[in-house]
Amino acid sequence: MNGWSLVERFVTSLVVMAAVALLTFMLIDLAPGSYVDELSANPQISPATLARMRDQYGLDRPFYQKFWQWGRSVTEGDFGYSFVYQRPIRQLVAERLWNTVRLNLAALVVAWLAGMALGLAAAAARGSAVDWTIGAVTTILLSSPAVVLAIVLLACAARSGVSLGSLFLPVAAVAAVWLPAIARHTRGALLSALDAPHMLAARARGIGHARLLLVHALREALNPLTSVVGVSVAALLSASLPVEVVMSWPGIGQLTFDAVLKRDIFLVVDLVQLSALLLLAGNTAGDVLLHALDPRISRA
Amino acid sequence: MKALRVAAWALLVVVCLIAVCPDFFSPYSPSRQYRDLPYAAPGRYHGASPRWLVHGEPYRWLGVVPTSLRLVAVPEPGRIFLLGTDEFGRDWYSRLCHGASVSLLLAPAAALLSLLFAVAIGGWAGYQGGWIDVLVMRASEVFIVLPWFYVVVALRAALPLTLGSTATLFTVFALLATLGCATPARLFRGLVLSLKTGEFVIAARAAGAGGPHIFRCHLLPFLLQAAWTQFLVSVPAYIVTEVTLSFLGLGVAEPTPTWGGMLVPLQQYVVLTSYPWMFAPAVAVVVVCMALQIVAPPFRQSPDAVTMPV
Repeated sequence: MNGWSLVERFVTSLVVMAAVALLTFMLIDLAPGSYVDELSANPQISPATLARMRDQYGLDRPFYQKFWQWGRSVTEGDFGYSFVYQRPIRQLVAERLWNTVRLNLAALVVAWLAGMALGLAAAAARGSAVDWTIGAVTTILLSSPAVVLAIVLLACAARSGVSLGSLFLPVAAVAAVWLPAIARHTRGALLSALDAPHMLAARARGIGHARLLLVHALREALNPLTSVVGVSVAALLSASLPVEVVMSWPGIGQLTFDAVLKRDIFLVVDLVQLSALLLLAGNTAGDVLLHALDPRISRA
Repeated sequence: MKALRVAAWALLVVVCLIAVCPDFFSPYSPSRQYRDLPYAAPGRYHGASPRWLVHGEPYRWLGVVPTSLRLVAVPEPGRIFLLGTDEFGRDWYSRLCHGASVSLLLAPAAALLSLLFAVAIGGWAGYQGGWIDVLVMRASEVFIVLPWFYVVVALRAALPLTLGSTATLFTVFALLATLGCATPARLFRGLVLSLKTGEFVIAARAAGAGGPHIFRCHLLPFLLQAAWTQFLVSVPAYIVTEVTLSFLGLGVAEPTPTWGGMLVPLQQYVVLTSYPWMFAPAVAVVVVCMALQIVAPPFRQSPDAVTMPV
């Protein structure tokens, strides 16, 4: 991946992000009512105050004007003001971003370590009871929605009564969402690497089973796996949102859920942008990694 | 492996039968409350003796045909709760049967709709090429990056409150299908792109065949195989989506039972720890999704296939 294609990708990403923001504003406009409308049920707030709030936040303007105004402030580094929390969005997000990043990074590490270990174990003993058991476990995990995984983990923790660190359960839930896909891809990539003719040649030269698997096959299998890295980084957020809501983890996902329900429009738009940004960044990182590891792709 | 696939198919057929006529398979109406027996454990109460194929509470099959035939029923005052009851004393098994109709009829419908869009848009973009192709691919990128969750919530809130829960659900799923068609559309576009330079297509064009004819007779048969695989893969994704949405309170409203909505009581600590039968809908979701996975033909999963809406 050369510099020029990176620039091209960067420009495309900017356009995509702008389109996403415009669409978000449009959809929020389509929905009836606003945060201020809900306040109007409160007799202690006078209609004049409500009108001033509407005017101040530009809630009466059409969506493209909101979008334009929002875009101009963002270029100046101002991400807007949350009227539900009565604080600048930059502060609000900064406080919670670390929680979500911490959760997802830990889950990513756990999912990759455990997933690759399971994939290796299954590939090493192809067709055995171990392989079959790991296959069954990944099938079960792959069939479980994130909310179900979160509930079951909560129930297990509540039953056992063991107090674990606050990070343990959410990380386990998010990791469990990603583990099966990683384990399956590892197993598949390893098996197709093991079936190659040069593996037979290596075995004929007397290279042991463990070395063959860990040094020869694993190195070859890493290539298809890197494309999974990008996807898993990008899609982590969507898995962590339900988990954050179910387990009351004070992160971006929970903030988003609340913001959408309460119609905190600028907060919603900023959070949608943040998730879109992370998704695009994850995809790009995966591609860059893939190109760096396998020069054949750049040449093709 | 073959036995496992047969078993999975059998399970899916049974569950589909239950989804089509939930009243026949369940002893009670899903909204019937037995307030004297809240959170009752699975079992028989008041000396019930179950009878097979009897006339119980009347219902309308498919909402039209009036009948009262049920597979199992107990004469009054006996009660039979195969999977216990919830806090209002509603039969959990009957609710599970009725929840199947929502989850298992809507998810395939949404998957089918999204595939139709995907084949049409992807096939068209791939066949036409040029700026149409570029435009469709860029638009699909926006759709893939757009967090579907917000879209669904915005639309859910935009619908008038007077709209029935079924109509709301249909709209939400139609929207999900539209959003979800971006990824398969890229798949079909790639397929058409590689197929359209094939010799048989060039031969057909040389023989004077027009674009629509070539697409229908020469390209579509190839796409259908991929579409079937894609269908089996995306149905569980839509089931999972319904579960997540309803669990978060954005799906179907309360009186109508759905598998996701039935998980809501588990948000209470007491239910979570003391009433294991309340986990029945979670088990149902996992088992049905597993059966669909086993049934799906094995294929080389591309990394794209890993991304699910939830």
